[in-house]
This record gives sequence, structure tokens and C-alpha cells, in this order.
Amino acid sequence: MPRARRPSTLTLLLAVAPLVSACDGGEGRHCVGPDGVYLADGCCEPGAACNAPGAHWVYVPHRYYGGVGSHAGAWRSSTSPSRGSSSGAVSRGGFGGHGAGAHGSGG
Amino acid sequence: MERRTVTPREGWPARLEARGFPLHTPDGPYWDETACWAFTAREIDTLERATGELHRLTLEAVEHVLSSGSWWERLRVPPALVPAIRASWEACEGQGAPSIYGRMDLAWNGEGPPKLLEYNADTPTALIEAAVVQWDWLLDVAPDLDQWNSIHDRLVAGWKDLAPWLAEGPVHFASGGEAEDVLTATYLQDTAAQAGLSTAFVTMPDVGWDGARFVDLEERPIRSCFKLYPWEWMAREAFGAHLPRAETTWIEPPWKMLVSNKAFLALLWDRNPGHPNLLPASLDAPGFGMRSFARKPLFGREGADVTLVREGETIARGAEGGYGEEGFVYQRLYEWGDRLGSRTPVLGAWVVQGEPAGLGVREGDGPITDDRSRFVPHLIDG
Repeated sequence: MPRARRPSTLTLLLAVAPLVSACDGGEGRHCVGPDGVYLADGCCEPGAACNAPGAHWVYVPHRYYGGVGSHAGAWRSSTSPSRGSSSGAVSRGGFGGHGAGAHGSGG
Repeated sequence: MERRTVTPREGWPARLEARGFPLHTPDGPYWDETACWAFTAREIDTLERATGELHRLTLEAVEHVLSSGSWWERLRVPPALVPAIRASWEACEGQGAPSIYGRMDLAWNGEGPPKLLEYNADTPTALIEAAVVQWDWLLDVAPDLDQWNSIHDRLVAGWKDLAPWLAEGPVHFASGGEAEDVLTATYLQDTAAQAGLSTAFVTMPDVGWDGARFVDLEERPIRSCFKLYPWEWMAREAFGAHLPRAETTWIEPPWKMLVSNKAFLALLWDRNPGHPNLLPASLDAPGFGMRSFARKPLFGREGADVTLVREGETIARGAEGGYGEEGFVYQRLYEWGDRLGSRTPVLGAWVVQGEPAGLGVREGDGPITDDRSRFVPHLIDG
């Protein structure tokens, strides 16, 4: 087996890069076709003429960069203003209490 | 194995950003292409064999925990999670619940056997730079040479293999809010999408509980979820109480919390004393006559609260991170010697679906690898 293999297409990653760098808010999800290429968002709506089997939403977090190459702070959820907040029958904020300080959750 | 000085590519920051990696200079230099580490093919073979062997020992030790029941307390496993750990080990017709990746940190100066420092089996990061960015660097700088790196392809192939074992609906990807964590989870989401899976992203604070199931922001059930969030944190947070009864398939699976716990190093040594790829390790106090050791908090991260002691004298301390409440493991200090000068590169050997997959090298200014340690690309030459 060859030890090194060329990474295959990085279409979605490439598409995500400008979005995560933009820090301009906006939609948090984008429609992606079965081959990983972005489609017009309307194509993920049921019944749309451009809707193709396998088209799905990808949620892209944003507003968590202070700018390209600078780590100005963490992304904050806009829907969980406080721990244990609830909306209807769904409660949120029961995870995520760690890792907001100097150390992330990775290692 | 040698460190070579190389000329950085013109406009390299923009190249990294175009590849989806803007965190090259977060609080100071992180991606460092003023140098590279060169290995011979024989040296890479040595690292690959060690990685495979250590993963085998890991699985054998997990099996021992589950069959003997003698290490639960020493591993500080919350009793309520024991059934979930056991179920995840026995799931999928005995193959274990879906797992995609992990990263072993090895110490090695090119002589003798590589030694395991720890196994980040639950939430490893430094993934994009190892899988994608350093491969691009190789193509630009030394296209005729090789690199130990099939990480990206193996991740895509791994998701395809896991697909039949995942529930219907999107695979969710979740992380805390730190940029590095979000980026890593998003990259893994990308590899799953390339494998043809339907995916969605949700932050851990946005994960909801509807009384019976975990749900996303659209209140869709979270049936399968890759979470870049440590099990020991999940277990202790408010929703941890729901984990035993939720039907979510978590990736990495609950049994990985045994392995990412640094007490596991003592278990590995206990099971395999004298193994050439292990350093002696003990719990609670330096064992085996150790006078030179690393004291590591059981749930520590990124070198925080690590203390290095040589011949009874403290030689380095990691940043304060508030870890250590659960206790410490004492691991014999790896002696680097002078073959690499004052350098102490930590070799991150990636494991994807149980197979050795590639390498990422980190360099710190001191002997403790932390979140400021620089990533230096590598190549195979000779």
C-alpha cells in the first residue's frame, strides 16, 4: 500500500474556508449537493426544481473569528443565552459549560 | 531523523487560508515552515509499526477493563456511564460502536523504540494541518519526495465504512466554541460529506433535550453525532444525566473515555511491563524507583498542569489549567539525549479506523508540548 496518497477533492472544505473567515454573520447553513459542492440554498427545499437526491444542509458556524489568522475569541451560541435555558419542551445549554477558557476541548 | 531548515513559500499564509486553515498564527507562530523534519522510510516504518502495536495493546487493555472490572475506579469512570461504555464496546455485532480516529503522541529521537507519551483517543485536534496543509506543503516544496500521510483519504473511506452502522438522518457534528475545535469538527464534517453522508453542525451549547432525545436547533433528533467534546466533560454537565438513556450513537464512542484518560498509561504498563514502546507509569506516586518523571493530571489537556522532574528536581511546569483534581499519573521521563540538539519534537501518529494513517510533528520552546507548540511539516527522504 502506498504510504502517501493524494488527498481527494476538498471542494467543501475549500468552500467553507471563506465562510469561516468572513465573520460577517448571515445564514448558518448552506445547501450542498451529493458531491459536496454547494448549491443554491433553495435546492434543499422539498419540491424545488433543482432539488436533487442527496442534497442536504450543511451548517457552517460563523462569527467566531476576529479576522483571518487571528484568534480573537470563541464563537458564541446565539440561541443559548444561559445555561439551562429552554424553549417549549426542549431545554438547551446542558452541554458546553467547559472549554470557554484558555483551553479548548481538543487535545 | 533530522530537522532541516527550509525556505518558506512566498505567500504561504494565503495558501493555508485558501485551504481552509486560517489558524496559522493564532497568538503567535503556529504553522512553521521555516523548517521540516526529514525521516527515512525505515524510520517511518518503525513509527508505523509502533503505532499499530500500541493500538493493539490499547484494545487489549480496554477488553481487560471490561472483563475484569478491576480498573473502573482507578480510571475515575462515573458509575452511571459504565453500562454505556460496555454497550459501546460490544455494539455492532461485537466490533464496537463506530469510531473514526485518534492520535498517539510519541517521543522518539530516531534511536531505539518510539515511546508512547499519551493516546488522545477521544478529541484529538491538529488534524487539518496534518491531513491537508502539510501535504500541500510537500507538493510545493518537495513534490518528488514522500510523506507519511493518508489521513484524509482514510477519513473519507472510514465514514463510508461506518455509514451502514449509523442511524437514518444526518450525522451531526458538534464541538465547543473554540475556533480550533469548530474548525476540526467542520473538517471532519467535510470528510463525511465527501463520503456521501448527510451532515449537520451544532455547537454543544445548542444541543437540546426534548425529554426523550437529544435534538438540534431544528428539533431534529440527533441520532448519530461526532462530538469534539470530552466524555469526562459531557458526563459531568447537566445533560450528562440523560446520556445513559439517550439513543444517540456518539462518535467517538464511550469506551474511548477509558483510553484518553491518562490513568490508562498506568494500565498499559501494568498489563505490559517492559514493553519497548511504553514508558513505566504508575498512579498516585512515582513508581518503579522513578526519580525522573512526568506528572500528568488524569484529565489534563494541552500540557496544562504537567510537571517534569529529573533526578528529583523540577525542570519544567506546564501552564495552569485547573486540572489535577482527579489525581495524576507518573510516567518515566523520556530522555531525548543530544541527538536532536535541544529539540524535543512530539510525533503525533494518527490512527484512522484502527489503522496507522499519518504523522504530525509539534515543537515547543520547552520540553512540554502545549497549545502554543508549533506544527512543523515532515517528509520522507532516504
